[in-house]
Amino acid sequence: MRVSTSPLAPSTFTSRFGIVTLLAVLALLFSVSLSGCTSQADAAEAGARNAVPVRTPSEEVTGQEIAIVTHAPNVPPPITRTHPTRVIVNLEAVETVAEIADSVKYAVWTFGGQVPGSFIRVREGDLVELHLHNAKGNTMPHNIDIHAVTGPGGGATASLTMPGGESVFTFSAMNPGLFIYHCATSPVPMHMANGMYGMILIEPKAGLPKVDKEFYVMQSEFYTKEAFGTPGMSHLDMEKGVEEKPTYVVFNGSVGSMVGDKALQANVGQRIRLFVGNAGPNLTSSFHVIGEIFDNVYQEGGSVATQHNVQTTLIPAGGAAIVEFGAEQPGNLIMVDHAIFRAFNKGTLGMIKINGPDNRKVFAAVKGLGLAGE
Amino acid sequence: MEVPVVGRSDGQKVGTSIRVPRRMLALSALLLIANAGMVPALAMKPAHRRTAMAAIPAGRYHPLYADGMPALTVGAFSMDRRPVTRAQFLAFAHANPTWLKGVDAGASAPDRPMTGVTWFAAGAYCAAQGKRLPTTAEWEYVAAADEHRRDATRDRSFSQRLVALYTTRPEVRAGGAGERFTNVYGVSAMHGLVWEWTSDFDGGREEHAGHQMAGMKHDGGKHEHMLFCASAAIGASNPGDYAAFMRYGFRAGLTRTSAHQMLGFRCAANG
Repeated sequence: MRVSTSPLAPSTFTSRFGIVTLLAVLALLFSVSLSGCTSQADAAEAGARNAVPVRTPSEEVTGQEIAIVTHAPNVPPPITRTHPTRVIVNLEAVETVAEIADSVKYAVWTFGGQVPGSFIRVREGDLVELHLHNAKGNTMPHNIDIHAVTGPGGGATASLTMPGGESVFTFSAMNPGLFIYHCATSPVPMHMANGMYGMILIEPKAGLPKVDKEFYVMQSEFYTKEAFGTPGMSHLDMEKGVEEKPTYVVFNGSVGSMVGDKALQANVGQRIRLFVGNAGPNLTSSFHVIGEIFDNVYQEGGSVATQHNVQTTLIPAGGAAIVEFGAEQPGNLIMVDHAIFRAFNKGTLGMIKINGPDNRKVFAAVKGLGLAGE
Repeated sequence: MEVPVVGRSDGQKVGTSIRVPRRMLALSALLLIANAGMVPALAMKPAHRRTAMAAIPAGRYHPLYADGMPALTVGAFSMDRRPVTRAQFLAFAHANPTWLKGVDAGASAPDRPMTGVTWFAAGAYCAAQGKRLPTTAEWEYVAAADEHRRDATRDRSFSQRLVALYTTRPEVRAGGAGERFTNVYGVSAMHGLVWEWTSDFDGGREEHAGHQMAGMKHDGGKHEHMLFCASAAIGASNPGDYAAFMRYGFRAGLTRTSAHQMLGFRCAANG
């Protein structure tokens, strides 16, 4: 029987070699692809499990140490330890009076006596033993919600402490990153509006890349009955808090906290890392350093540098970010919330003074008034 | 002997009579005489109780953590016009020295509210006056009033005012036990001077101290998280009442043996 090879006569081909062959080939292809699907499905399954891990605490935690905690803008030194340990952290809730702007006093509630609260630094896998003390002279109970905690209330339910008392809870630092902590005693907005917040860094196991300078910057708001800058004692205005209309928006607890002789200092050629938190209680921050670009941004305080060459990064209320840049040019770098009325009129302005030799290739004023001075 | 229940002047018995043993009769007579002295006392309040206490009429109020539930009824009762002072408590404690233990018994500031006493001590003082601690419901019911209104809690500016009072630094607060405003019931210094004990701050069950809202049945911990984080606003009948949140927050940390320099008390009485 003649088999037609003409492409115009497919029916002849199928009718000869036929349906059976076609079906056999199809069946073969089908089974091959199915078995391929199965192993692909397995791989996908395994990938999914790795992408969303259900974490477990460290198998072995050896030794213990007492955490060094620091006041802003200082940060405890990088961790050199290479094994998980029990870290004992002591925090004290202190109600006191602070200056939130020149001659402006406010009754603040704090962790560690200052706004913002102490900076804590531990390593991924550590077992943290948190001791919360409530100073004897305080009028209110306080507790703590640490955003790095996997557990009820972030620790808040276990740590309600009356004045004069102490609570203790432990947690496994399973997630690396930069996390806010704050008081969560009802009414939470009041405790936060009065200054009860701070940060904890859970270093990834391999540590963060080495830099020359690290600083702690916390943005936050104050809501007062008195107008901005009114000298004397200012008082919390809860209505303004509900309306989300702050009187002061500041870095590190006060207007001018990092200005003039309190400016942060670094040198040309140094690598600088800022641990930046936003305690809110209401606003999102558009964090920018005038005169610099962020080489690396760990967006939202996660454990991976997610973006490079960024001018302004968003920091949510109750969130954080890590930004890194190299200092290439001397002068004053100005940290701002680029919602710029806040920087100019409410206090979100801080300085990093870079010292060192000029490099006219990086920047040179050529003509105009700028030649005369800085 | 037989005692006729109904008798006629001619001694004729009408109706049934009861056999009453002689002993019972004598005992009854004795009891009647002994209690005769109570009659005038029941008929009128002692003078000190009248002036030092305010009459609080019955009414309804919404506890903070009862959104969606019907309002509670508070029966009529009396409330001390002012917190118990150091002078008052120490006079009681000197007469009952077991209550002097652990207490600052110095003679200074006699008109300041007595603080640093446990729930037991506060209750014992009130009992010695023929009174008791107010319940949380009674206390909150009276605390809702300002100078003109029985319930000012829906007025945001009232809550603001109370928050300002609560957050005044202790070293700035001055004055005796009668300062701070007098409300429409004639009760003073409910806010801003000291926090105050209530009889059932822990729901009347000691093991639930710190987790119980007075006036509510324990319901397996559903309300435990109400105090923390933003979940405190869920189910709150008046989320704008920050002052109430602060008071409930303070009570949540108390146990019956807590003694705190900012924690005093006043007494209440039925009727």
